[in-house]
Amino acid sequence: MKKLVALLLTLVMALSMVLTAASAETELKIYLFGEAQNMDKVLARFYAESGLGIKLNLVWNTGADHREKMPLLIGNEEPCDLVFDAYWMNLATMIKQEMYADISSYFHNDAYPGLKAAFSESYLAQVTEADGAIYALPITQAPNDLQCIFYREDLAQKYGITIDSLESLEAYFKAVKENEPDMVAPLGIGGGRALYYLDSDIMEKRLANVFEFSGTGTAVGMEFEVAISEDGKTVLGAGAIGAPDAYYANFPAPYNTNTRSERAITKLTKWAQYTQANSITEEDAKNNLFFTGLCAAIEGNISGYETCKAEIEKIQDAKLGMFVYNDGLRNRTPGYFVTSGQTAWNFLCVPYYSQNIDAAMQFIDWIFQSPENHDLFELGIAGEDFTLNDAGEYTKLTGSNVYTFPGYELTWNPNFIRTNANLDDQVKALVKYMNDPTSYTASAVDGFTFDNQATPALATAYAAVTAVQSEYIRPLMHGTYGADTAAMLAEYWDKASAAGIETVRQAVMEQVQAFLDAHGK
Amino acid sequence: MPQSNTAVPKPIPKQRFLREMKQNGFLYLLTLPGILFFFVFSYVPMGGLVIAFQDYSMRYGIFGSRFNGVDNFKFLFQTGDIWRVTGNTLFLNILFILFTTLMSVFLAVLFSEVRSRGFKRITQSISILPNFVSWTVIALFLDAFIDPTTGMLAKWLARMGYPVDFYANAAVWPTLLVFLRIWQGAGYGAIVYIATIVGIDPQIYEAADIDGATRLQKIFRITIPILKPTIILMTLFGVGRIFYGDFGMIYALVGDNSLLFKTTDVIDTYVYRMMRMLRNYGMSAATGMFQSVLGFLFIMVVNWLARKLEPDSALF
Repeated sequence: MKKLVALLLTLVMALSMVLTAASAETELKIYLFGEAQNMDKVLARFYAESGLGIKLNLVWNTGADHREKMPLLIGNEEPCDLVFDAYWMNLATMIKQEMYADISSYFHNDAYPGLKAAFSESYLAQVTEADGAIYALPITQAPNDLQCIFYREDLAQKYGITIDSLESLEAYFKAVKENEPDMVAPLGIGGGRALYYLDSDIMEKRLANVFEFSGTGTAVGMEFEVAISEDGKTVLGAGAIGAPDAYYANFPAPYNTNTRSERAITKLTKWAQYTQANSITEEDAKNNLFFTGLCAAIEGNISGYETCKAEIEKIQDAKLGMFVYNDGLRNRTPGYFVTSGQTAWNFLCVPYYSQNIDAAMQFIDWIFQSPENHDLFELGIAGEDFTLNDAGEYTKLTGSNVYTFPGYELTWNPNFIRTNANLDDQVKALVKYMNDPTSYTASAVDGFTFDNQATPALATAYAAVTAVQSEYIRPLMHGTYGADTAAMLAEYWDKASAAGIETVRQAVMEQVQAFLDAHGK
Repeated sequence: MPQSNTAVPKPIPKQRFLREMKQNGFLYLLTLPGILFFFVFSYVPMGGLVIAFQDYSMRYGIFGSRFNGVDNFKFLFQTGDIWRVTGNTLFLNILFILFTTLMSVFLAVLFSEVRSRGFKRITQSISILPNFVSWTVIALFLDAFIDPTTGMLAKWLARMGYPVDFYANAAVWPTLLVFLRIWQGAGYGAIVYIATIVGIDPQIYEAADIDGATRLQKIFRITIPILKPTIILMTLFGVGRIFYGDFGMIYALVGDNSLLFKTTDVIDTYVYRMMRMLRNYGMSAATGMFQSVLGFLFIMVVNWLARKLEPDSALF
């Protein structure tokens, strides 16, 4: 009897080993942030249709966790084959620390037709290093997202206000502040995002060859602005918030004074009277305030329109309105979009130690092999999760079983754009404008990224300045200092100067000049 | 006049060591788990401090990264921030140690004076309970009190004509933090003192009763003096950790609210923020090492002082 049992067990073990060997699959561990819903059916369809023998293991972090967790996880060589990263997360540091694999050989490669079709040389230019290496796969539809204010159209109608200018926006805020006591504020803003680009002239400055570069300061608002000559060959000067006007002397008029400081003193403090108290510690204004009806507007990007609309309509009688506050962009002026250094915002990377680089690239290649494949991951299963009209525009179906996925982390690509058929005409026109290459003017600094660790002296100064900025950035960008803003700016600049901000400024100018010299634009 | 050398010759160290082991070997064996614990979790990780002197690369690790001397320490002193956060760490911890010790002793004396055992048990349990509430939860409680628009305390103060924007006013936070620290830790801290009081010989109190001592006199002339070595010992333990600014508490309560950094930014929160913003492990390790060295020097000085003032209370 014992022998029989032993024989049976041996047979079962042998059979399982044979079966395992026969179904050898590669499992890709992919780290993204946010969440997808009802993804199993899409994965099942992918497994059935692709024939690649690739299984996907998607791990979802929260946004804040993703930024902090991934460098440690990858530094520890934990299993990971694809990871979302961006310059606004850890990309620059991770590339400098050689944490990502070179994936350049997979592009313009006939063995990967999907990648070849979706990733043109110009699209990859920004991520192509001087030696031809590519460490990050850009995931973006257009080089810029259209910044806007999402507001409650029902409340605007209630107070008889049509929002078509900054003045009417302020009138709306005033009306809400005076008449909606249950709301905590007319405008909800997040601690980190602050009053982003509201009432700024960032695009006009870029058109005048004044560029701001992320990575040269702690966050939006604290970076250096660099003026470049009209021929795009010479750096004219660089300045930052708090700097004396003398730094801006060589900038083109009307930007030859410190307009960043001016915005902080006059504009941000003005808008701050309509934001919630204690805004600098707010972690998620959109979900905590706007979607719950506790504020009447938030700042956002047009790519978030559909989500906002769906969430706002859950509030009784509420309707979503959208206002693009930059006149040139709202009026869809051709060539009004100018990029500053980066032409893509989101990226996928493969850790250097991954044993499944081929499989990871095969998976991405499969997505871009056909619109149907792409639709599967971006929109779900046709007829079940979405439908397409004759113009190729999609309608998302509703129901608890519907698939949702943050396409900006995997599927967005300028050659694979589908528009929502149900957007109202104004929004649809703006989305088309944003995705149209003729809306953009190429700049001399496209592809430039600042290396804040280039020399030990720069690394030290950058760290010291960052420490100083960490104390001032939020109150300044939230307009919290009010009437004391000018004094606090002076205090900030004194401390930043002592910390070595001049070293950073010189490095910014030198690196931009070196980039212009090398690229000869 | 020369003295004859009649003293017994001292055993050589090896003999002394063997004799000691023979006599107290079992006791030394009992200390082994503790020694191992500190060796593994406190001494072995010190090897990682080498990162503070390296241009640390995550890819190449400790053994493959380039040494860069003291470059990682320079940024600390370039801003002057380190002195501010060191000052805050010291100031807040001194307040915490002082007030929680006072309150713990006060509570211990109160509990020991209560005659009703049922009442004593209930009140003691209630006073210990906050120790088990996490700082994240306490932060939520606090928000319900001090939020400028919805907080009960903030609204009440505003109605009384004393509006205080707690989240924008750095000056009120040391008081607020001390209050919370007392609420959270004083009851738990009282346990040690209660145990000491329970151990006091009742005959001393009986003798005092015969001498006609009042209750207050017994407290101040018997209980407190007997508690003194325990108080000094517990204070020394607290001082030993004085450069660890209780990250869990301060970050949960203050977060990234830079308006409050002037009084609440301590070395721990500073290190964490720099780590998040710079992603520079070398510089973060340098800040951490600076914290450890200061802590070590501080405990040596305090112990030296304790030995001078009360030799029995010194740690070593």
